[in-house]
Amino acid sequence: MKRRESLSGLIDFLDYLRKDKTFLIGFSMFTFFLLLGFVVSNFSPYDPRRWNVAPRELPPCWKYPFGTTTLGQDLFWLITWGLRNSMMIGIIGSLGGLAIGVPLGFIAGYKGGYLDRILILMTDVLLVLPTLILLILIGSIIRAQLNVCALGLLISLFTWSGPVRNVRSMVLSLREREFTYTDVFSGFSTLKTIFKHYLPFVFPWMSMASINRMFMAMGMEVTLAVFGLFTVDEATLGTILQWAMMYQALLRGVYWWLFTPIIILVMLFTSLYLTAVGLNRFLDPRTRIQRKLGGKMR
Amino acid sequence: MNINEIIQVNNVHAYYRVIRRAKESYVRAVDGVSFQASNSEILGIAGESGCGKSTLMKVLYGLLEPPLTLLNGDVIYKVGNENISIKDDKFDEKIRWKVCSYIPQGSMHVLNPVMRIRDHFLKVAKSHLKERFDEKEIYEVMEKHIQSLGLPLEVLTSFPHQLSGGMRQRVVIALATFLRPKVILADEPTTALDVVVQRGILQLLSKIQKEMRSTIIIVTHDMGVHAQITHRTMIMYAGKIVEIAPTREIFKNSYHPYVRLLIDSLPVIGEKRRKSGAKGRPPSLLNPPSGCRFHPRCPFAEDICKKKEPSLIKISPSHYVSCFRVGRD
Amino acid sequence: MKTYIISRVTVYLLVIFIGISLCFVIPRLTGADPVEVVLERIGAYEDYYDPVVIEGLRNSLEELYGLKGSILEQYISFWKRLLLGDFGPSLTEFPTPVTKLVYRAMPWTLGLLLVTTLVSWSLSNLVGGIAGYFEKAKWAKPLTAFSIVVRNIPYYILSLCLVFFFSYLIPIFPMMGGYSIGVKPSLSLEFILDVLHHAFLPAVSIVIGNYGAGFIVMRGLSTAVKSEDYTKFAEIMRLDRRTILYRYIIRNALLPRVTALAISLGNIFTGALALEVVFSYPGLGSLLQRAIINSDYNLIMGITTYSIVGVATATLLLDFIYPFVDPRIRYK
Repeated sequence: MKRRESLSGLIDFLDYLRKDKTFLIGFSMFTFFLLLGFVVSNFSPYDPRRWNVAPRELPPCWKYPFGTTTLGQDLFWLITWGLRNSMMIGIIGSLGGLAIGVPLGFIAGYKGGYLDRILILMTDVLLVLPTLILLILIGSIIRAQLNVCALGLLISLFTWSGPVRNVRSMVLSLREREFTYTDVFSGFSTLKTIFKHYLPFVFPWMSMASINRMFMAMGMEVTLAVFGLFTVDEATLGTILQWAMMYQALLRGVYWWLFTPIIILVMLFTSLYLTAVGLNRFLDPRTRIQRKLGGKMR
Repeated sequence: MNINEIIQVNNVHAYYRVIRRAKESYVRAVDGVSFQASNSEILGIAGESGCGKSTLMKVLYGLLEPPLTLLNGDVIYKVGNENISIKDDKFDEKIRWKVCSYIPQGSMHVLNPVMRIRDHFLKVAKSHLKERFDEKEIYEVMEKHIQSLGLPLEVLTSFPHQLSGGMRQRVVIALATFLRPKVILADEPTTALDVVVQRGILQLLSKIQKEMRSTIIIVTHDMGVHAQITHRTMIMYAGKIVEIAPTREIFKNSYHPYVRLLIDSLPVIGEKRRKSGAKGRPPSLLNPPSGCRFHPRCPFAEDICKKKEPSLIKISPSHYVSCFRVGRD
Repeated sequence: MKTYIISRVTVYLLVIFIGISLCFVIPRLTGADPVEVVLERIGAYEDYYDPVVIEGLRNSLEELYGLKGSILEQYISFWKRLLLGDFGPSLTEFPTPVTKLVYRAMPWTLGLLLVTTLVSWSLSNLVGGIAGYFEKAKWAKPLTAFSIVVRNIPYYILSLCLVFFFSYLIPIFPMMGGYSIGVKPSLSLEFILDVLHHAFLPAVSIVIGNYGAGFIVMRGLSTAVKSEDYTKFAEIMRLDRRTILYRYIIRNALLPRVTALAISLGNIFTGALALEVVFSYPGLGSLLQRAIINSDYNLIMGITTYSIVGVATATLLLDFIYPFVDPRIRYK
């Protein structure tokens, strides 16, 4: 009965997502960007790190759909690479942090006691620490080695404290439910309980969290780019923006250089947000009850 | 309407609108209820969970928020020379909290956690008294009122979380009686309290009724509460009234099979006999049984009980029962 | 309440200790040698330097950077100097001490941050609270849509748009700087107005950026409080609209908002720093950028340390204020 309950919960979730318009719009936009970044970028005729592969400062036209930059780069292909790198950072930062934080949250919530208190203290400290400043410090020192993956990992390392708290509180309330006691008495190992019964409940929250965290990770990336912390080579949406500013794109009238990354970023964030809203509607306890009631009264 | 009546309930049908699978259906929580409440009496409403008593209270206070709708019927308050119905525009302004107050279920959580108790009273005063008032005067009234309900003065400067359950209940009762209403609707005022505190609350309510000559309508499933303070008791089943009589008669001399089973199931000190309750469970209010709603569980059910709905029959001036078997004797 | 205060102070001390230790450890972990960097830069100007001179330079630089002696000795002297507020001289404006540069830039950042954070937080709470209560109102929908759009945009990007529109296209506001070039800072009204004029666009960017997310969160909270038992009881008691809105809805929804503010202080701070770079605003942000460009190790350390202490202290202050907002903590 319990197994069916938790599995059906998961199926409920996916089924609901299928029908929710907001989620679909957001998710399809996001997939579009994913494709642009990870698939299309591979077809780029130029190495994104090279300059002067195209005539400089050309406004958008047939040959160069997004125009070209002061450094002689084709903005369109540059943006696809930028998308790829930015999203990589976002995904690694987001999922990496969850990979660390969620298990810790389970441990803290389930085991409790000493371990719990230490973890809480650690998360409190991490929460207050202005992580971006430390990232800037690190970045300013190992500038040459700060590539996309490294940054993603660093972000995960500094932001795992959020999920710990959330997962912990979820586990705490789940622990008091009947099926936990049944599990314990049936001799389920801790891992089994967590995987079979808790995970389906935590999963919707995790989807939400991964999206919010992508926001945050990409925002961090853009902010770091402002301080000129990346290797000159890597193209991310943040660095493209930064170069545009550094080369006075505004004053030189090369508007497309400045605004294309901005618009892409905003659209990317919006797609993420819509996805999150769709997910959130599922999680909202009030609409949840309506759905449950609608189902139960057979 | 009788001179002594203060509330008249006429054939109220109050349903919850439910949409499932794109079809509209109704949960018939209160399905044709009529009765009167007199001045200065304590009327108890009893019945199992889901029989419609809490919904009835909401209707009495005019709290008809969707999905609750009043399909039929009316509730009329007699105030001075006026008869004001819950459907009237001025019901809200004239009756609510001034003539009739409502103590909902779960009084543990009805006080604002970030507001001191005295501020609760001050806000009630400010919202209801049109004229400007002197805060000091009101404060004196507050203190006297609080003390008359058995609460110490420190309660006024406290926050809700600093008070015990029983004290919070008393505060809520104090708030409900602050404007000296004529009717107090109390929904399960003693659930979740231990018996000693319970007794204190009930004695308090009794005292209020005597001093303020007000009418109290108490809803509770606990027959012990009815036995202690109510003058008349009304038993509901599946959205309908099955019996209504002076409390003594309900306990000593009831007629409806359901009520008899209910009373018989109550433990009595010294008795060693095995107790039995009614078989089965209360029916669904979406699709109630045909005819008399109790017939599936009634040991005396007859053919007619399945086909026609019984109406309230008068047995004595203040005793009414809704059962086919009774009318005949 | 006592346990609450003790736990918050403990976290504060730990944050400072760990944060500053990280400041110490990280540069040494990466194996980058700041002395080498400096020497290289100096070496770039001339072909040949007397090796004795270079040794001497290296020695004094190592002392300056606190790199002499064993790790433990370095650590202890690090803390000693920190507590004295001595970060050594900056490279960017040699030999001006780092602390002087930081103190020069700090008022700009602080002023900008304090005002904008307070304004955006209060505004989002007020409007969000009201919008949450009057969910169906006509004006609530467009307001919400606006906030949703704005929330997605990091305010650094927002500022770029604002600069484009109000500085470039329609030159009402200056594009950069804290005050006009050539003007001498003084306490005259003229100067103050000039400062405000320059600060307007950066401030508006931060306010709008923070407002967006805050509004949406507050609106959600407001709706949640609205369905609480005590709010329903207030409506049963027929308390007037104003009381319910301010004393019930907003006042209760405020509690998690204070906590959220405390948590987001770090992000608000760093976001503002990035913003300053865009506007060449003379605060810590621009200073940090210059430090990074110049590989000014001391200055970077100084700014980082001050930032950690600053954010931690501000968080602690908010933690102290919280009991006054939540009586359940104040009176246990």
